[in-house]
Amino acid sequence: MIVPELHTVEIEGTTRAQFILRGALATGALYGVGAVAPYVSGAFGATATGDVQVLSFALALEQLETAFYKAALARVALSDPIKKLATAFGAQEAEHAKALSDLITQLGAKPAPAPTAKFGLTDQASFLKLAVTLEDTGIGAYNGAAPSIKTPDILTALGSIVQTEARHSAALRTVAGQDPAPQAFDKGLTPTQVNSAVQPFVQQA
Amino acid sequence: MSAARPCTFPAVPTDAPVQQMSAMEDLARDPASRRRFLARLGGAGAAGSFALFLAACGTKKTTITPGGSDSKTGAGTGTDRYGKGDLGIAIYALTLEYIETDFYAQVVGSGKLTGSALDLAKHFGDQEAQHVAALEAYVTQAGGTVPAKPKATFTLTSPAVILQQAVTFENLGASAYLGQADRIVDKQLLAAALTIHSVEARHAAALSVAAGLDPTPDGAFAVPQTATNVIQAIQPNLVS
Repeated sequence: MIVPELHTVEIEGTTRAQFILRGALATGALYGVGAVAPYVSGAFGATATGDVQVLSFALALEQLETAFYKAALARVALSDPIKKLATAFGAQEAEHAKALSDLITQLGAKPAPAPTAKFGLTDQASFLKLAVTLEDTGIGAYNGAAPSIKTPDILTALGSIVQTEARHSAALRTVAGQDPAPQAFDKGLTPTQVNSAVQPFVQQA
Repeated sequence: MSAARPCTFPAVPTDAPVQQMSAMEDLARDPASRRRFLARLGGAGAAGSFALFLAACGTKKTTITPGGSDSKTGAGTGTDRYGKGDLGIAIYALTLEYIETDFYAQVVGSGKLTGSALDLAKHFGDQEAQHVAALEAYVTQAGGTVPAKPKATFTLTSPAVILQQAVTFENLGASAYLGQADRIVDKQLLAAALTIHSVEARHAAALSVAAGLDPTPDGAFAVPQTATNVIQAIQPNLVS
């Protein structure tokens, strides 16, 4: 599946997690959503020296998603049912970002500001393609990262968020006429896969 | 719809951050180290904020030991009846997957669904069967005994009634997995449970959209359920 819109996503940020995310999204465009998961897991794997690193990367992803829905609602003519979904989902991504930001603060770290992002949104079809890719990326990211979380309560919190991301993806896929659950398992990946996959991006960063 | 692929359990999970597992397991096992962790966050104030965040997630938590019992009262939280610790959790999840697989088989067999609704029921039923196969493999691998399949009955009178039940079961399944996430000790089981959890959520949301219902009924933060609540909810469908 090629998603040309993804090539137009621009993220201005200096953190390595954000940089890797950018690379992961571009790769997803080339090889399909299934290929995104190792890169995103790799981003976590490369930086996850603790829960805060995982939370920080998750925050960057949620901020990106929040900006994405905001941009879509501002710029793209969406049908009423899809606009309704985009409005609800965008608000929920903002809630995720707020909760993660608060949690990072509680853990004694400083949440990064939202990355500046541009999206290649031209019409409803481009919105749906990019939305599904972003949401599926989020699911792969959380499922890949969650087992490395050290605090049980944070694990439940991230689980609560990833379930919502999965619901977003399935709802968007349904209205886009796609299979809402393309695989029986939303897989994580092995460290070997992660390491080899993420290496080029880590070096560039 | 994607073609069915056989899935054996060991292929599913990530073996990511092995080096971090012991610290995490220590934390999960040892309430004292968890208290120390919370103390490092800034004492009671931080713990209180933490509780607020979890309240936003809809959880009302008691401290639970990995073995599945409340550490204060010693009361089982629902999965103990299936076995101790992770094995009990896996058998509990397997039991739910049996019921879901049976539900879709009965739905397809009823002849009440046609077209895309029938395709969806077959597709989701096939995925539940893959979850069954993975969990059976885990239970066996962990030295447990695969349980007998529960007998269940469902009201399959019309497509609308079927759809409504499917939404209910899938929402329940997703909340059931989420309710176990922080109780699982074995990383392999945790990773597998996560990969299944989000697929149950996908099923619930797709069926909700088809039924004209809200795909995110809990809002931004999905609400976990204890095994006790889940078992109580499915009790009316079980034939004893």
